[in-house]
Amino acid sequence: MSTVFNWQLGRDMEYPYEAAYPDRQFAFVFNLNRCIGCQSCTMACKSTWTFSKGQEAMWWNNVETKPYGGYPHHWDVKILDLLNQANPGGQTWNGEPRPLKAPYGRFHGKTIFEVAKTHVSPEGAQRALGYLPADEDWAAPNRFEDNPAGAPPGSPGDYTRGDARLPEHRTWFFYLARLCNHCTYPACLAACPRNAIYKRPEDGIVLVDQERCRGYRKCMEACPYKKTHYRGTTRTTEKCIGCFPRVEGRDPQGRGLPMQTRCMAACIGHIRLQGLVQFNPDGTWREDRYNPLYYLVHIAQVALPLYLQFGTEPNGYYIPPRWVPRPYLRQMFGPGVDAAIEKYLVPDRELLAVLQLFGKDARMCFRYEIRPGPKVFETTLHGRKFELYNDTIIGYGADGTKIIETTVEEPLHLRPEQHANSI
Amino acid sequence: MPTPSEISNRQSEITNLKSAPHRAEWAPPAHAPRRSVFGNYRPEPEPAAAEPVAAPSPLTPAAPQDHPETSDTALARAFLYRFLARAYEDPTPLGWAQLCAPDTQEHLTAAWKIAGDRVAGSAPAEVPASPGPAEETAGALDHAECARIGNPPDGRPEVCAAFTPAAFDAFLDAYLAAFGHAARGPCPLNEIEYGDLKADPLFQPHRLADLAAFYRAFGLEVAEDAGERHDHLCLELEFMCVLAAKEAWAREHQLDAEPLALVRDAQRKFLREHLGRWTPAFTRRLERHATGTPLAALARFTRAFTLAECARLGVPPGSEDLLLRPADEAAALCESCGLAQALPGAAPAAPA
Repeated sequence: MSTVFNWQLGRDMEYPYEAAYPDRQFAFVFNLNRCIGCQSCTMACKSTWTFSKGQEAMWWNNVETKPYGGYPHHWDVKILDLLNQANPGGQTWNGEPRPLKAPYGRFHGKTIFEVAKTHVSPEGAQRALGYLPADEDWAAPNRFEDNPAGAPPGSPGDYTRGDARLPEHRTWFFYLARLCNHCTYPACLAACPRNAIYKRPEDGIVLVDQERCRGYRKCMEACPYKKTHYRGTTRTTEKCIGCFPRVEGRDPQGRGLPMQTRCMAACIGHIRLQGLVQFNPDGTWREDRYNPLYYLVHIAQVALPLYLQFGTEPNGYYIPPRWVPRPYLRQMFGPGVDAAIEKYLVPDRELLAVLQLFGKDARMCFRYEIRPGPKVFETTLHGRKFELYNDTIIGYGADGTKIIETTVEEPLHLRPEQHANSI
Repeated sequence: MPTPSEISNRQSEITNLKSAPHRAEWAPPAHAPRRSVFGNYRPEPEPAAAEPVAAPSPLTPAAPQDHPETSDTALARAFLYRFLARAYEDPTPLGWAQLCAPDTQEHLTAAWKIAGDRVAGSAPAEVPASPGPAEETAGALDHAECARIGNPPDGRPEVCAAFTPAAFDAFLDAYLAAFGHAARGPCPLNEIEYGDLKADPLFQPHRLADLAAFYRAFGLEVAEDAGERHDHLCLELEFMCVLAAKEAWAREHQLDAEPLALVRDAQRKFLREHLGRWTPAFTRRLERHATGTPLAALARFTRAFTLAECARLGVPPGSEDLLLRPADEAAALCESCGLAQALPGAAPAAPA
């Protein structure tokens, strides 16, 4: 075991390998307030990568309904339960937030790596705390999931009323889109007895070497997000490859520029933004003020990592759904939730502009620029003053090419009077 | 009707394919070694110095000077493909007359002399140095046989002797017996009927889609009155005929290396993934089924030519033992999901 710095936890933690960071890191932000669970992302991924025999139950990208859904079934409940058993009541946060090094304060609980030292599974010691899902856990994803929490018992056709009022709905659910987080400290990589998993230095994408893998499934046991999948026909494990040919800029559509993955580009709700970020030698993010991901995660702090307490430093970030009860969100996204929702409810001028970058172009945006526009109106939102400016935001690709130019207000086109009924 | 954007997308796809063939592949680039930021993963030592690479990688087409091919060879190959495509078509008296015409036979003999030279020599130049065990035995057997068929005493291929105007009825009988009137006779003419359900990574529809993509990438479409699926042997042979003709044109007009490499690479891939994969099994099956008829001679000739092509393009030929897919595969898949039983009015499932 060696000691590595995990900025999401605001402290050092233990990891089986020496700290090392890629030149750039695959990362993404999902705005869960906008996800409608249409599964376009899921099918884009499926039809690109996992359409063959043996991959039928394999969904590298999936969208599940929270709180009752999960793929595999109850993955998060089970791992949270294991952590709680190992460290009862101790998974707490404390300490003052500090920018970059500890934006959510300091985690006083134990990560899956730290717990593994004292946790011995039936097969011996583990590198990371985990469990192997049963075969049936992978079956029937999304079945019976769309049930709201907190609904009073009703009868068919009888809808609950008056429960939907912000800041929190009494009856709630939300959609959670997930894929491999290409973690900075991957548990799958740590657990592989054949050293078949590697994290690429150029973009931090975590891959399984199919020639080395022998299908022991230790990675499936160790990954807390359960994002490696066993394929019976080849007897190996497969996982999300981050559409690396697109990230490398080899998709002809991108004309040489790095492109966002298939699931990001296919999102009809424009909830997704993916890009590459850079690290400092100590494991924190290198300042890149006008990279939209850096802005959303570190400046605006509206995008939060998923189950950061696991300790793998996932690189998937989520803008939490604002109607969901806070204790649930704090468990899922850490103590940064309240500030993130406050910020998102009444967005400032820059945040509103950056949110326009989501889903506008399939190429990756590395830098943005805002051209101030006129003030459109002002009002009061949630008791605070809100001013809307019609700013223009411009996004640039890897080589500085302008790929996006859009305004905060969508252009409005009115059909002229004489053509009113021309259809 | 394709929309204007579909047309422009397709055109840009084709342009991209032509301008940068390596980009059309989503395989990892050959120059990028697998590396990890963590100490767990050490890359394998490079075998480059130890064993010289005998076979060109399928992703990197050999430079034109590597193979002493001329436009004549390519034209001869195109002719042979065309001849075979005609021969496997539904037999008609007119078509048979063309196949048996002295002119055709003369051209066939000449073309075979040029394009069949690969089977005459000892080791084919472009065959991989170390084929797998199965390929090795199959290759050894076939090579002897090919040499026999490839070097007829008078230089005239066996089919010329078998294809005589009087043999039409015998050929027609054998054709109907082998291929049948129904969707699937004893020796199916369609690629996707061949393959191991477990080993084949592609489902049947994927194979069809892949074939359609091959045709479309070169601007070809199946004629509406053809009435055949994309995986019909004649269509695949005709496609190779077009590619060989394109190669001949590129060589004749001394185009720069890129179009030539592209068309050469496409032939290699098509042979590896489609025609060369199933033809050995098909011809073996056909030869056994049609013993003593002109069709058997055609089968032997097809096999000799396919293996010569595989050797020429450095592609390992498919297994002769490739089985037919079970005819009721779709039905079996359908039953397993249980939907049919669940529908109203369905027969109750048999007790286990």
